Amino acid sequence: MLMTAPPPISATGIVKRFGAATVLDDVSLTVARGEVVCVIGPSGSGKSTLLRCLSWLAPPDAGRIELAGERLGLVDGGERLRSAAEIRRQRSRIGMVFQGLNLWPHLTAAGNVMEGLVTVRRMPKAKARELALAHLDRVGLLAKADAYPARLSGGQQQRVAIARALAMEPEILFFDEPTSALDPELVGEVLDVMGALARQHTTMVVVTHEMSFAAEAADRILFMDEGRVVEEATPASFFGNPREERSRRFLDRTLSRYRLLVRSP
Amino acid sequence: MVEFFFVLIPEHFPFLLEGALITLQLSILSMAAAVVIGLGVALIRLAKVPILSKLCAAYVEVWRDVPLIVQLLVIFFTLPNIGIRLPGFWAGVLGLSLNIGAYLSEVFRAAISSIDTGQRDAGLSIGMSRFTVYRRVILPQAMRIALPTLGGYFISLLKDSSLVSFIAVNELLRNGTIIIANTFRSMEVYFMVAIIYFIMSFAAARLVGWVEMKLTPAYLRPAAFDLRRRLRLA
Repeated sequence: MLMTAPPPISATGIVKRFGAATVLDDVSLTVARGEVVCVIGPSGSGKSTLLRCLSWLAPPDAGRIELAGERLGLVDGGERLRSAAEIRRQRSRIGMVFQGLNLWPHLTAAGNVMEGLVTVRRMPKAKARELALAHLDRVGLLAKADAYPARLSGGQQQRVAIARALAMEPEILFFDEPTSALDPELVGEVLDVMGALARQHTTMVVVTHEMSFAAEAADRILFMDEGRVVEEATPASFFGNPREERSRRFLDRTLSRYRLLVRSP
Repeated sequence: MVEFFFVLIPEHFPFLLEGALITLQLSILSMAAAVVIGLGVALIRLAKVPILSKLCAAYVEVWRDVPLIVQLLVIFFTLPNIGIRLPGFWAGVLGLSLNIGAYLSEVFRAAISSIDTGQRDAGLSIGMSRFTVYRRVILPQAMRIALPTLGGYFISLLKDSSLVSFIAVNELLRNGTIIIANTFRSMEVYFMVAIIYFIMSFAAARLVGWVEMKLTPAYLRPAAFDLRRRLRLA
């Protein structure tokens, strides 16, 4: 019997309101295993809120999310909330890298990566450290294992944050504008690590303003505006020939800066 | 002058030191209890537990709005009427710890609130429980922020504990007044009492400074500290 594995994340009809404002209005998104989806759009379009809903940090007001075929946050069938322990188990299967530099400052790089393995996975410390070092090596920071975050550059901190998320071996990795808080010269090293993950077919949803990264690494682009998905397309068709007028205007404005740079002698 | 150093001090100092020991015991016990009360109240208020949080807010408000000496007198003279007989010493510990606890709860609340919510989100997103987030992420950082203020409160508690002499606890100040009642040497004895308070507070302040430096985490310490430690280890 042939069975296709359920997609890591499948969301339909997500609605999220903050007071009177509807931040997400009927958003649907399914990400296949190994797929890289980049979410782009102007500030305030609901991109970050979408990730927070999909990771149950900000539970949606309506809609259905499935994590590898399992109803996220709610008991299937009813609209009853799952137990706190169940929600924790589900959250631990979703990796998240935040916009701000969210490493824990009182723990070393290795300590940050180990923490979830020890407190959530109940792994013995020695084994957790071994795994943590392997993941730090993966993001090129083995040498910084015992450094505290304050001694790391912003780019290095984000790479440790990626290792911290990877160590939990999540079904899917969410990136919420991982480079927008960084100095321009530090953006490259973080995007390099993310590009390598994409090539290894890590399932990822990346909210970003880095158009060149989206064009190169994404299998699919989701363009959002005012809490809705305006256009969903391959990078080639989205950047080459956007269907929607709204997408075209956004790209014109965003990319014109790059064109200016390229044209200057 | 000669009499002060060679007659009065040898004669009365031992009795004053007995009182100083009680003062220290009062202060340390009250501080320990106040930390527990303060942290508990801060956590309950931050968790916004329906009725309990309001009660805790009321406690903080009331205890901060009544003079400490009045609180001590109320506790000492009211409890026996409702059938609770506490020796003066323990009434003193109760009064002091409830008073300092109210202030400390605000110190802890501010320290905890100062930790960026991203720190919590990062913990929740890898599957930590709210309890684990507090224990492993928020409190280790918040306590280090609160520590200098805590030290300051301890030093002022050491001195404020003299108010407990009003409820017949034989601590430093009361032992002083007992001596004066018998000898009428107010100036000399109060001077001795002042010196002992000064020495205790001064030592406590140095101790607090030392603990603070020891507990300042490596991530906040200037590089020179690390270097010094490394040289000593080498």
